[in-house]
Amino acid sequence: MLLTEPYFMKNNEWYWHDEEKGCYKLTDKATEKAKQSYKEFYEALENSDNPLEVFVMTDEEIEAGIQEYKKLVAEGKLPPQDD
Amino acid sequence: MGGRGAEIGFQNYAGINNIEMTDTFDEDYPSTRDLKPITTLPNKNFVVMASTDKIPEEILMPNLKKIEKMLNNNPEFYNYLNKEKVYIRTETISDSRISACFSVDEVKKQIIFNSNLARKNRESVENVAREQIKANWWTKSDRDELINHVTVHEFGHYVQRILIDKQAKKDGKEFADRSYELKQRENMRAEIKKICYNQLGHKPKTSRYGDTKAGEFFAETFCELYTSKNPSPTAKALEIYLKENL
Repeated sequence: MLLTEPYFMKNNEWYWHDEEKGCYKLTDKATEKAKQSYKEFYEALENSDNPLEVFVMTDEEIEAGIQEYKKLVAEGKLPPQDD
Repeated sequence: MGGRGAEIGFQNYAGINNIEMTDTFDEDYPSTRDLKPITTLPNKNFVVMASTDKIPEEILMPNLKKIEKMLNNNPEFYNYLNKEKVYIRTETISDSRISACFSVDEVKKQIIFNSNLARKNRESVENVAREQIKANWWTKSDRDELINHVTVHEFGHYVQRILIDKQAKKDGKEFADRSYELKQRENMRAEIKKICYNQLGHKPKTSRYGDTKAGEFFAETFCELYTSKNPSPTAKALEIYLKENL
């Protein structure tokens, strides 16, 4: 599936790229609107790709990505995202 | 899949993320338009369905010609199909940001355009592609290929599925199920990145959309390879990978 750019990627401060997992995650600066956009984007991406199961991105998963970001920044393993 | 219409849908996304996609495969039939390549693509097991008849010719024809050109230049893209068909169709997809998708099940493969293409013109499709490429959201395409970007991206998903099917056969599987497919996609991404780094001496890089997941990495890189006269080292690495594995 090919989607146009989602809202959560309009601001570099809202997301980071997890090189290891090969996907995007959110930072602690992501707004509620950015979180909603992220959830909708990955649900659309996953669901269009797999007609057999319904994929739902939970708030816990989003929060886990944010916590991972904070940890990596605190450990100096990831530079803080800036716009 | 089949004949469920708009209310239930290809997959009922209603209430999940507000995306609904119809499934009218059983109501669709091969286009009867006497136009090349609609008449010639079936020779390579690609069937253009009547649901595409509403797409303006200035959009549909370059896309179909591009598919035919890729098939003509790469017989390995269709030789393995045997009696299986690839259907090129449209469905109603409620989210207008979704231009197209590739669908596969145990009996057929489909390149599905959003039926809202019927209300667009060539310029508007090219403008969307230009904007997405400028933002590095999509990989680059030459100016005369902007109209084909979406189709070639979806065709990339199809080619990746060929590779997965071939590997599944080697592994003694009748059908590449979901978990197998995901694993293979991850393996391919790792392998292509390795070729780029080790053989071509470049850090692999794709578009931001290509960075969303392994399947999109392949499709975006494939798209660049076939729509740009000056593809990146990552796209060249994919070319090497295809030569070695198809």
